[in-house]
Amino acid sequence: MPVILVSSDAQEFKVDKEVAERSILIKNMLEDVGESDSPIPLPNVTAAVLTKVIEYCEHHRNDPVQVPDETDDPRKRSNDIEEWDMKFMQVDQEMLFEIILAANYLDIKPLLDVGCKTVANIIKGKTPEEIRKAFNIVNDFTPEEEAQIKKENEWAEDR
Amino acid sequence: MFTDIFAIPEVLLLIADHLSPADLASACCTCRSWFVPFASQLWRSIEPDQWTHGALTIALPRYSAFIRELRCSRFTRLDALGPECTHLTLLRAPEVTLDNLDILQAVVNRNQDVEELWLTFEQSMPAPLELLGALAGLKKLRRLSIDASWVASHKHILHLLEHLPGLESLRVELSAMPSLRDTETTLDDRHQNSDELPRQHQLQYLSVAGYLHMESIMRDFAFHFPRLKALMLEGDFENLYSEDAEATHRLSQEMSTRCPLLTELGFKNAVCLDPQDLWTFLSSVPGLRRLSVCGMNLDDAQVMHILLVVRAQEPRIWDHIEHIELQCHSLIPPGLEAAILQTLSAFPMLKSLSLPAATVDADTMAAFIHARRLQPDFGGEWICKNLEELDLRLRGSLTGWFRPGVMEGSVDGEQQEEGLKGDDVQVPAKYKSFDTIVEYLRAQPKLNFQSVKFIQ
Repeated sequence: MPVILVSSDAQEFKVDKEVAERSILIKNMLEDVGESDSPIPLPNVTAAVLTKVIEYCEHHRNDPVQVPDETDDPRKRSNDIEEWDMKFMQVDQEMLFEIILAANYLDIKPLLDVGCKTVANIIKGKTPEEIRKAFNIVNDFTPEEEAQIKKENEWAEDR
Repeated sequence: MFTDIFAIPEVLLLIADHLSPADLASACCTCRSWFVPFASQLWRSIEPDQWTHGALTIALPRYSAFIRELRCSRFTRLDALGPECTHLTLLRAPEVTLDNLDILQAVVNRNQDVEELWLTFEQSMPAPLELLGALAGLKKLRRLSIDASWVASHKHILHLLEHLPGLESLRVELSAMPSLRDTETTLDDRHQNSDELPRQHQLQYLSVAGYLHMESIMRDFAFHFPRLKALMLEGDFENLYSEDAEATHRLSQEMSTRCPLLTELGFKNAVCLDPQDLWTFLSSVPGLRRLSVCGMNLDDAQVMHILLVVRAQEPRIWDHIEHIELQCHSLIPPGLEAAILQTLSAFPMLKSLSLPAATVDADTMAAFIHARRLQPDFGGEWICKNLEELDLRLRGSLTGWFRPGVMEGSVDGEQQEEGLKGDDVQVPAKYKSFDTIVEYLRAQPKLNFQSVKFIQ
């Protein structure tokens, strides 16, 4: 049975239940509501973003549910993004951020992960100034504070 | 509506998960809101080699609150660690001396959520009773390792265990293990006292090093842990079995029923292990899956001999053994070649046999294979269906006895196979042993050939 999702700009999207349930938020809503064909409003997601999110969920509709591994050492975790996801993430920064926000709101862990990995890949190898430039971040440290933090963490520089 | 993803701390933490220390160091001085998520990830886990960097020690007080895992080198000074360090889950302490005992005690007291703790005590240091008392309060402790030369009585250790019912792994190294004969009681009397501990202690992994009294180990430790999976014993054993063979046998029988989950045994660094002791101990673990015997007075062939004799007497014993690792002193123990072949065929589930210290005589090995093949009843019993690793070093007597390159990447090496078979007449005599052995190895369907080494 298809599910109807409504974006913040009132556009309706008809998707398979299986696809929609990639979102834990929607899955829980459907479980709470029970059998019902009333549309599900998603006031935090625009049609443009929802289109992308649905595209992702369609592609990954058959993926096994991820089991979080507690012993997983984050430092050894690979940053490899599979090819399809990589292409999927080739969007402008505003859209990348919107996708991350939507994934966070809709509770789609694998999509949130891919989004964060993409952001991490932008940060990699950059100096603090280059990072600020890449994301339009205003440096609110005083020069002294910044120098101190840099000095305190210099042991990590070649790691 | 545009919300900044960097305003969501969870998102920043997820991004931090995927960055190297160097990138985290850059990220944390980008702006104020980035400092905590990225610095906390950077300082989450401190390794011993990082302590040598002066900047780390200077910055330590300010960043202590972020540290979850703190691994020190032997001489690390903990003075700089701030009182904000209260969230440790893992602590590998520097060597404990009378000088730093107070600091360590304070760190332990502040970090009640520690799950894994490693303590090494300086030689000749007296038993730090207050610290032991503090350890007993760490309710979340799952793994504990104590290296000490102070004469801990079993009481200290048992007291700890009594207070730490969630402990899964315990490693104790004691230079002098008090003999339980101090308490002049009979074996049966002692059994009645064994109810002092909670019966369902969670301990799964126990490693004891020091001067070991096998009977004490079996009774005082192993008996209390019905969930015990692995038992590692390191050091010399006090010989016990000559005294009361009957009681010992009973003890061994009892151990096999009390510790049904025990599947891993290790013996290490003993110079006077009685073969009979090893025999009895091994027999008390019929469900053995992994055995390692390293640095013993017994040589590899003797250990395998014990396995084979017991197996011949009790055909079902060790049906499930998968890994055997032997690493004892003698380089070329007599009877090694036959023992290896017999061991391989005696245990059908065996996945790996590892003898990294021994050198196997290739000619003797080949002669055994050849002789066995000639026997009329020779069947498939030398096919080890599950064998994956055979860590052996084979040495032939003739110069150039092995064909270089034959074993490398030859899982499908049909070309070489043809070469071996086709030109029987021209096969130089020096390759005879090698070809026989290779043929035997090729018969093992899952074997990784790279694990076998041929040396001159």
